Amino acid sequence: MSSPLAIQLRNVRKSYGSHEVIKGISLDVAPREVVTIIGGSGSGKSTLLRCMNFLEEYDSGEILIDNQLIGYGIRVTGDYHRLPGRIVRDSLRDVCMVFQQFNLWPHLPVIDNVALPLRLVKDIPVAEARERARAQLEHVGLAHKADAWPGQLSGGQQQRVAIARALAMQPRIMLFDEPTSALDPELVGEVLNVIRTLSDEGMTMVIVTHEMGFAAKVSDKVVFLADGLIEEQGPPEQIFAAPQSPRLRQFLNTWRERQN
Amino acid sequence: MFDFSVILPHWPQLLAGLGVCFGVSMAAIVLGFVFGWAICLGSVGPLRALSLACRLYVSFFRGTPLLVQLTLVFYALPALGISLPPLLAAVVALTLNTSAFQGEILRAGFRLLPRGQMEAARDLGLSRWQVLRHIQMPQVFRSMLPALTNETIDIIKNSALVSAVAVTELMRTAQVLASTTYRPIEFFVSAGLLYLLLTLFVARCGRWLESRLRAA
Ligand SMILES: Nc1ncnc2c1ncn2[C@@H]1O[C@H](COP(=O)(O)OP(=O)(O)OP(=O)(O)O)[C@@H](O)[C@H]1O
Ligand SMILES: [Mg+2]
Repeated sequence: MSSPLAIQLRNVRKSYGSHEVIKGISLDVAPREVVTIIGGSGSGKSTLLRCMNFLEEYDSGEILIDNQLIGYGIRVTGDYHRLPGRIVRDSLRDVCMVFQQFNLWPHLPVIDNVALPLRLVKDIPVAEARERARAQLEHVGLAHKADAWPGQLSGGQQQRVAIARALAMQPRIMLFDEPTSALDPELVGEVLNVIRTLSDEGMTMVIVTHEMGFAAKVSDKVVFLADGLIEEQGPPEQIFAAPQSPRLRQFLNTWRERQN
Repeated sequence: MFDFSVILPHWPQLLAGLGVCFGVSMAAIVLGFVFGWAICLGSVGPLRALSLACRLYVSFFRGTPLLVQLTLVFYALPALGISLPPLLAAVVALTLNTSAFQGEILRAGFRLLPRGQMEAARDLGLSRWQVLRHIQMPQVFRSMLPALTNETIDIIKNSALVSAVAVTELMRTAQVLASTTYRPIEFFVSAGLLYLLLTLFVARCGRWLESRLRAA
């Protein structure tokens, strides 16, 4: 029987040394759902997101993507054991991440930034990979920059290339870690527009963001993280208009003051 | 007083010496580049013992005079039953030496790469080897090219030391001719000029390669 959930976190914990950063988080994300994660600096948002695609190993609990446990196998004795990298990569082929710092590869032209993973991971021949890459760049409005170097693009354009690079892999789940935080204010809109289009197209997404207005518009569910725990979660109307927890109320007040 | 016409009849010998110098140095640089990568990957890799071994190797070849290393290859290896012809032994010694330096240069290049680039690659599904081959190595090579050019020039100059172990390269040729003609100034100046031309040429090639590889 297949679970209707795209992502399922069960009591996930993660420490750096003796410093526990994620303190037991459970969270469900349904297919086509858009979940945004908000919270103060150091509350564990990035760490949680990075556990979902196993850039960080979690220490206990379970993370399931399409009902499959990520990163660990379970022996008949019930013990967990770390799976080899190849298997972990394979179980995460439907999940792609977009980073705050874009992380394009500066030694490759834009088109090859998008085409390289297609060639290497999906074994698509060069010409066809480039073809697909071009189509994907078109999707984010950057077909005319295909032959430019990443360093020649604005931050907003670089981030759209990074999104195109992820989309080319045809993921069913996209993770965004503050995709607009490194951008000049006037470039934020173009990136948010692309993300909004994805949500209209039914992409399952988990987005860490400080753009509360955007979160309110695009989210099905908003999760407020504080000190490595979910302090409150709910539909955006509730989280932004009728927050229950005092910490969330204070977080939103601080944010509103900063806006003025 | 100085009469450079004395070198004229000996040009072919000097040029042959230059050829040997260039050949030995280039062989060492190219082989050392391959071993240098191995040493670099070994020392940044996850295997503790291998990493330690690579670091020890680097410390030894960086921390002892080349002449000592040459002597070891020439006299210690035969004692172990491995005897190499002088030319080959010279290449081996220079290779061992430069691979330590090139390994260190490449390792520094690795540390300069922002981690996020590798994370993005892993996230998109590239294997460790693919990340290394397609993301890290080309960028490390590119950013370290000026340092590698310097190392090539160093090796050309250091190759003069192999004259000490009976390889007739440029320095040795100049020494022999200087003592048979009693004209040391003329021959050593000529040898110096030839070294200078060679290193200028190498520097030129390095800059050409840099500009070809530079992303706009
Ligand atoms: N690699 C690491 N090693 C040690 N501690 C880390 C590491 N990465 C994060 N931390 C710590 O874990 C905590 C949570 O960090 P995280 O980056 O997840 O926070 P965040 O909510 O994303 O913050 P921000 O809004 O500033 O991005 C912080 O206290 C941070 O210092
Ligand atoms: Mg963060």
